[in-house]
Parts: sequence; structure tokens; C-alpha cells
Amino acid sequence: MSIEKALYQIYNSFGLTAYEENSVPVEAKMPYITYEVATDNIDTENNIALVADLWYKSDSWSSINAKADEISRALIGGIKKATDDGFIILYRSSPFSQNMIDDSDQSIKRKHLNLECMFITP
Amino acid sequence: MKFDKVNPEIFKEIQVNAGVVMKEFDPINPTLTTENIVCATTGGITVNCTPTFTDYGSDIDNVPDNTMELKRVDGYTCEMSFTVLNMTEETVKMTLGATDTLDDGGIICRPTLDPADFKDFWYVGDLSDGGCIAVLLKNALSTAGFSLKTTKKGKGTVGVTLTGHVSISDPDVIPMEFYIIKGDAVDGTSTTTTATPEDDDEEETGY
Repeated sequence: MSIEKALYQIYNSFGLTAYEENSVPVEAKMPYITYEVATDNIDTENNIALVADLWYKSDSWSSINAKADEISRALIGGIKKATDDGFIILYRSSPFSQNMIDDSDQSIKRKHLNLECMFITP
Repeated sequence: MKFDKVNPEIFKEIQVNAGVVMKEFDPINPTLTTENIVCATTGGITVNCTPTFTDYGSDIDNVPDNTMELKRVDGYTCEMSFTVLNMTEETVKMTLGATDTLDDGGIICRPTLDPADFKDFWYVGDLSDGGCIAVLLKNALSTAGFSLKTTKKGKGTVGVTLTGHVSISDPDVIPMEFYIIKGDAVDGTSTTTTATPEDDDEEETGY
């Protein structure tokens, strides 16, 4: 599979629907994940920084906190996915998560996740 | 013709992540058990196996340096170096090398070496195909001593260098062994997990 599809599968393995950040359907209902797609290859020495966001509609931070913690633990050691001719490994980065709010709707809770990806691909 | 390609197999053969130092490991039935992990490390782990040579041709007139028929191996320096984060009796004893335990539980260095001070350690690290590289360091003793480095608002660390030793009972056995274990031979307890959603979702993803 392509790198893009591998990222899609990783982000959709956390128990929520995940959308590439520019492709969120109008009818999508929170909670969901949006994620950035950036690709690279084995020529790069350093891992590539990627971001994702958790979106919850709630008066409380408890559910989104729990999901962020769940994702953080799942990323310990990295999550690896095979591509057509290699692998990508997604790791958590630092700081892992930051709370953000929507000024127009305080019930929208958002966690900005900092990640990094190793591309073992041609 | 351009010579600018790589064998696609290499993408399965790349070592990734820091790996672990273990007390015991079975390369025939490779499994990670947390009880066998010696310590938490930071900054990765370095494994060295460096030969030393004597070139008997170096002082012979008209014989070039590095003539292979005149080169001899003197020995190998086999080492494993890492930085320890967690302070336990076990990690302190490992770092100090030859130690005794006091009546009050304290640890004190011993000015003599005992064969029991020399222990085997394994380095095991992930390969990109889900397998691992495993290196056995035999008869290892800490040779760099104990040096605790602390920082304000930071974590204290201790640098460790373990050196493997040859036994007089078998002097031709070099104290380091290497194992490359393929992905399908490794028990599924690797810390590098693989995402599991179905592959057949071409319509939904648009990929």
C-alpha cells in the first residue's frame, strides 16, 4: 500500500474515525481525528514531524484526555506499517499533546498531537 | 546504465529503535520478557567488536604494509556501552563490577575479582521486518566504573561500559556472538506494534 494509505490505517486504528486534515466530510460527527500527511524517504537522516488533532464535543476534558493517553501508550516503541516497498514507523514526539479550544464553541475540545515518522521507503 | 538502485530487500533489514539490554535471551525461541531487561537506557546502546592486528610485514623491506599473508589477529575488544537511567541494587552492582553486599544492605566494591563477577549480557534490537538483531557479550565486566551525572530539573544518568572477556579454558572463543533473526521467527511481543485495520477499504480512503 502507499505511504498515505499506511498513515490512514495507523490513525484509524485508535478507535476513532480519522480523516486527512483537508478531507473532513461536512457530515462528520465528533469525536474524530484529523491528521497531516507529509511523506519522505530513507534518504532523510531525521524523522519527519507530523501532527494530528483529536476533536471531541463535550463539556468535559476527561474523554479526550483518556483517548490521548490511549494513543500515547499505543505509540510507545512506534507503530509500524508496511508500504508497497518498505515501512513507516510513527512515534510520539514532544510535547505529545496540547489542549486547544474553539472560541466560537467552548464545547469543542481539541488536542493537538505532535508526532514523528520514520520513512524506511525508497 | 545507471548504478543508482538498491536491493528492495534492504528495507526489511534495517535496525530501528534503541533496543534493550537483557540478562537472558534465547535466539532459537526469541521472546522479550520484561523481567530479563537489565535497565532503562537513554541515548541508545553501542555494541563494539574491534579486532587488533599485528602486521608482521610492516618492518620487512620490500613487503607492502597490509600484506594479508603476514597479518595476524591479536585479539578482539568486545564491548557494550549505554547510559542507565534507573537506580537499583542490580544496576549499581552491574556498573561497579566486583562488589559485595554489606550487612546493612549497602554495596561496596571488592579489590579482587571473582569468576562470578563476570556475567553474560544480551543486546537485542528490532529489525524493520519485525525480526531482531541479538548480540551476546560473554563474561562481561563493567570496566568504566560508576559515574553518576545529575542535572537540575533533569534525570540522573550513569554511563556503563561492559567489556567481554575470553576464558583461559577456551582462549580461542571470542566473547561476542551475533544473531540475525528474521521477522517470522520472533514472538509477537515486540514493542514496535503494527496497526491492524483491514486493507480492503479502497473506496473509503480514496487511496
